[in-house]
Amino acid sequence: MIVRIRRIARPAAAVLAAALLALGVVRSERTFTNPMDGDAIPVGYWTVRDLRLAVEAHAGDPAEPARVVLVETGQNASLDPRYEYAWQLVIRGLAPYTTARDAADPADGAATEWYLAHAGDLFTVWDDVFKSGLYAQGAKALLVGTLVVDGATTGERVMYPLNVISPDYDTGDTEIDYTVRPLYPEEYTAEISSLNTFGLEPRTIPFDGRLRLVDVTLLVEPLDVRTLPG
Amino acid sequence: MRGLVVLAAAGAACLAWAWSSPAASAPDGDYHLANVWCADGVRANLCERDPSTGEYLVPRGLLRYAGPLGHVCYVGNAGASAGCLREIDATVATQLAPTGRMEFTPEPSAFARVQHVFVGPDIEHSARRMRVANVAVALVALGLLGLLAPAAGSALGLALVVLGAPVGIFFVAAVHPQSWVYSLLPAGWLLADAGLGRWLATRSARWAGVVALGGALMWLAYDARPQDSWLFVGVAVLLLVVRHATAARLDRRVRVALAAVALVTLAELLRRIGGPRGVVDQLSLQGVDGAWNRLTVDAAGAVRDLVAGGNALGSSDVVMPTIVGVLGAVALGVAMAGAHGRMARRAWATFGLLVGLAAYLPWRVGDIGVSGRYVWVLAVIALTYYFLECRAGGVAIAGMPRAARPVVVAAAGLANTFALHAHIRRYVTGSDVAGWNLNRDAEWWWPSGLAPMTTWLLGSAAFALAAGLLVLPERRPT
Repeated sequence: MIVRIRRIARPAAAVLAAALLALGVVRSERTFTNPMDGDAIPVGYWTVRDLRLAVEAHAGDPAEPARVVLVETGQNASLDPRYEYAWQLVIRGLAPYTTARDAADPADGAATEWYLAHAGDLFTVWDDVFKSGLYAQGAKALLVGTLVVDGATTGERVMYPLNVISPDYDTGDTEIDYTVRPLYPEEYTAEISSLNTFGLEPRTIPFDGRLRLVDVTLLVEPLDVRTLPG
Repeated sequence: MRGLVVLAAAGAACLAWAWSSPAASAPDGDYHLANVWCADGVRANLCERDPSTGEYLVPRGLLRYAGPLGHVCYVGNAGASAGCLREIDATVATQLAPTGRMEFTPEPSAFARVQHVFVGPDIEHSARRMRVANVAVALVALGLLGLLAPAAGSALGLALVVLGAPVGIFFVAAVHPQSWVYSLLPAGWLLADAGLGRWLATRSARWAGVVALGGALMWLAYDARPQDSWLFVGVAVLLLVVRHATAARLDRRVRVALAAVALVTLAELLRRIGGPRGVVDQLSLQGVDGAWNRLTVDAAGAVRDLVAGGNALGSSDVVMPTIVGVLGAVALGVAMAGAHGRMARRAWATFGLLVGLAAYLPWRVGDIGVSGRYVWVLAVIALTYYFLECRAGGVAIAGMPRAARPVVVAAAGLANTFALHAHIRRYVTGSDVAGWNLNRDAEWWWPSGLAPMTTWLLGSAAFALAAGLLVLPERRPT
């Protein structure tokens, strides 16, 4: 009898330990709420080539278009007439990176984002993008911000569909300068309107008018990263 | 088969430790990460140089002194969790800043270059990949040893069971050059030792290849951290000579070659230590009080750290419960007493010298620091040597009384369990929070993967399984 008990004691103890371990693991996984859930993980990508590789790796399927929306954020922006039906858009207080947001509609609502660091050299990044020829005729974009009238913020969020061309960067580390024009109604396609997740009505820049905005976001139409240089 | 399961379980235990702390948690983690980021020279947006000052610039999130709110934001206060990582913004990955370390110059060792392969845009994920790679390196080294020299593998395995947790296992899985020193030096030494023994007996090219393999692993360990591993590599080379120079049937040329190796190694070691004069100078500089203080505080603390962890883990702010040291001492004592058989006087003398060196080095201020982690690898080499010699041929485990084995496994397993819990606790909520449930009120954890409690449970079980399979006797056939 004792021999039999000794014979089964070790396997029985092993089975019991494994069962208790499995129980503990299941309970632990069920009860844990990760405090980091929902927090963006800071990541840095540095060149448009890196961006292309990252997006392609993320997309997985080479047949699927790997498209990103480029997003610039800044503290404030001004729109001033430059010449006929063209304005100068200057965004100031730029974040030191451009966000590239996966254009694919994610099931969980949280789009993957990559960051193109420009660290004071945004023009180089944009220059690389423009070398692709994608935006030769300008890029469709949405300018979103809070309207400022007579130097005071109105608190009203507004959105202007624009065509942005010729990004320039020569006025400081945290500024970028574009030539822009309003989008024609037929250019405000479903694809570009889909970037308007804020539910704002599209507005038209007043002819010969000036605009001042704060808390600004510029969302540029999706581009296929496979066409990027590098 | 049993060996593979031991390796798999050891790997799982190491991975649990790899998961137990955030990026940059190793001592001077900021410095070592910056070194890895710069291991491939100047690369745009990874490691650049300030054109005006010449300083190296790396992503701000890697840095401790260019904070606040980088990946090292939790260092310096054991009561604070790593929850501050939630507050860091994207600029920590995209903004380049000087390291804040005086005269930082990258040291592109093989270790750093291999780690550099895993550098990506996400610092945390990069660090995790590097830790997994380091665990893989350790498993490959141990696997090769188990395959080519099972007796030596068994002796090292026993030494790692009793000295592995918490210091060794933490560093093996850390992005820190000591990872490779810990993983590769003992395994390389034992491969060279076994290979040399067989080569002397057979003169077979195969065993010469094993010696070369062991030598290569020792070189990689040296290259990873040359500032102090020169000494440990030197000791390992001397041990090779001591163990084989007296073997029978050695021809004159081999004896001369071994003697030459021993003399050159000894001369180099003495030169670096400063010779007997250097030792005397150290003593006279410190005076009686200073020497007594170093002997009773620093050297004793370093020896205690070997089994108790203490501030050897993390950036000097990880609190280990006392029970870890107590259990570690029990495991060590029972294993040594249980494994002990007849040992030659020469072996006792050599072992005594190794122990004396391990106690002396933290005493000596210089390239070797005063924490136990600096001499851990020497302690493992000394203990493995003891296990190899005390039963004349690496059958230390087989010679242990059956009653001693469960004690060793239980004490070492529990020491690892308590240590891993305390380590996860330090980063999840801060060490000032009590309680067994690591999931409760967590302020930090990796964004993906298993929960803290799961990591602890699996890591503890895996260590106990590896130790049990290695130390407990197989069932007797009935």
